[in-house]
Amino acid sequence: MTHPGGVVQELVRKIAGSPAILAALVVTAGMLSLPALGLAADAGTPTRDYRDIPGIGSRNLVWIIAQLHLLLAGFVLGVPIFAWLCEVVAWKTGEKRYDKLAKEFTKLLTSSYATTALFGGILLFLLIAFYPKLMAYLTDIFFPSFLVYCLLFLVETATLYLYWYGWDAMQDGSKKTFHIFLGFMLNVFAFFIMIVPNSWATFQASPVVIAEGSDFARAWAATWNPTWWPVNIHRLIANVVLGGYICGAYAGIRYLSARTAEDRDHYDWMGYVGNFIGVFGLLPLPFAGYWLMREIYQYNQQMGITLMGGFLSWLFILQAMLIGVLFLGSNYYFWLGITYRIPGSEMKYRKPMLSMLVILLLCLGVWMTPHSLVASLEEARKMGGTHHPLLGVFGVMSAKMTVANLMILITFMSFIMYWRAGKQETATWAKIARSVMGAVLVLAAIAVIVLGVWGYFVPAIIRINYFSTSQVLIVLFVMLTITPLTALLLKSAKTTTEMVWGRMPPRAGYALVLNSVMVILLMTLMGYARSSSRVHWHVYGVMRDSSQYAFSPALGYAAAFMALNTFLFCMLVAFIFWVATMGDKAKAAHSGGTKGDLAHGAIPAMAGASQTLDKQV
Amino acid sequence: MSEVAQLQLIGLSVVGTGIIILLFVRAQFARVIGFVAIVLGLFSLVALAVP
Repeated sequence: MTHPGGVVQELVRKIAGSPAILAALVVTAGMLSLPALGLAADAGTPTRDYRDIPGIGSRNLVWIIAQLHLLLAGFVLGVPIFAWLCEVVAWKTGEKRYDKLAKEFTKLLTSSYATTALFGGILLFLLIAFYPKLMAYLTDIFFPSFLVYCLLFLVETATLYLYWYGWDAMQDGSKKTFHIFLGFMLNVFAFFIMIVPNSWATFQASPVVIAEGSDFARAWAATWNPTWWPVNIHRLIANVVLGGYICGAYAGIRYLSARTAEDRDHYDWMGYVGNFIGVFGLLPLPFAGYWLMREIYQYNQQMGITLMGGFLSWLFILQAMLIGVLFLGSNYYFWLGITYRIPGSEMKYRKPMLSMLVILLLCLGVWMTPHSLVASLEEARKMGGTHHPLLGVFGVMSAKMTVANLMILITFMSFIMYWRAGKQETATWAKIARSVMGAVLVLAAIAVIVLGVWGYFVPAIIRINYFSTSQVLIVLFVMLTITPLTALLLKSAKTTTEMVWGRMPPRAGYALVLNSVMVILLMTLMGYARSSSRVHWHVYGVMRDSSQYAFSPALGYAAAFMALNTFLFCMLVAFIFWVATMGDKAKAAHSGGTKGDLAHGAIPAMAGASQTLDKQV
Repeated sequence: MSEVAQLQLIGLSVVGTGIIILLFVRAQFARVIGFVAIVLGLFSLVALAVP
């Protein structure tokens, strides 16, 4: 059986599947371009500060490419964490399906890694072409870290090769331990690959410039700027969320297309794992975001006000909407799981689920309430000002921090509920443990609300430094107490109802897709916020933007670009998945049988492979 | 036509295209694209609605 368009597809697969070739090209191009920038700097001020292209404009083009590069990088850095965690679970529990899942997603890394490097190369060329003066300045400061970045890229590529190609050869005993170590190192190098460019981006927002000292001292001072670590931590967690939800979305699409019971079982389970890891990352993410905003305010209060109280304040209403939909979507998927995968649980959990839905919607309503309403003169007179007498109370940070923490608590409760459904605790101390967990949850919710209300009556600095921090610590305490307690409790529990895979309705697949779109949109939205917070500066307070684009685009216009970038990224990821799995489908076709003929579990269902689709081909 | 009106028209067209795909196309991948188009179109329209 011939594969349609086989030659072209094979060529595309080979090119896209060779990260070393593309990575080496990009690194070489980067290395070659550095002396050029250095020469330009030596020769004095470049002849042109900016270049432009007609039509789309230089800034818009850089915006699209930079955003796609960042999203791909998030995917490439998030998936190894996801895959490594799955491999460790398989190693510890002996459940081979986790190992297969890890391998499926590591396979995707090879092609996505190459695409990310490709977009990084394009971005570099565009930046050098359009912003020669800015790039010469940044090169002058960060030259040492450019070299470190190139080295990291090479080490990461080599480790990825060993990790991927050594998978089957390193399955037993000490070899498996070494393979797990390789996966760990892959993530360590990936982390450093993330934080080095983060220093370049955060330097632009919160620069630290020293006039004296060696090249290394200047680069180090610029790297360790006030927002560097908050951004590093925030992006690290966000990448886990992105990787998990994209895995979920992929599983959701395959689940919708699946026709055989085996496919439905497999992709339903994969969707569950993806959503679980996405939620796992989502819960601490707002804390990291809060820390970042706090550091921004501490660095420069004006920048903080521009973000949260100035022309970008409505952006945070959109952010609340997106996060709210994400929380709702994640909880909805958990509730669908309880209803359809665990027969008999629907009636037992219907009322708690309804209560949680109502609380989530109320919290979302408060979070989305703006501080100042857009009102006509007559409406403003009736309200007694621009602030509504009742709704105005919900528009301040004290209310928003409270509802955000409550939403995290509710989502955590959904997760615990799902975990415990279909099981009966047999431990003698189960009753006490349940009472303790219930009490901790209720007391934590009350404490969060009390601190939130109290926050209205104290100076802002007290609220920010003590109350909001306490709310975060309380929620973290709940998670760190109840998770191990539940794990201990369920260790000896009796399974009363076996989980049934492949019974989820189609809307579950769409919920997974929706969650991943929300995460991607959030990343594009906050990328715009971070960039716009610098207003008319390339490097805040140091190098002014004197181009024709020295203004922040309006939110509506920017949202169109965010939607476009999200769509392009989704299409790119779909293409990568398609390319990465093409060879497996061709192999299956050439092997003279269809996968559907084999017993369930006899072969791994490789990512992108659908037995139904293979049959159709 | 103002820029906002143009963007609103584009957003509405994207949402409309998504609805048409969901109504008339049976291929699952195309239906998912239609669903994503509706989500993204609605997001753009909401963003255009805020001051």
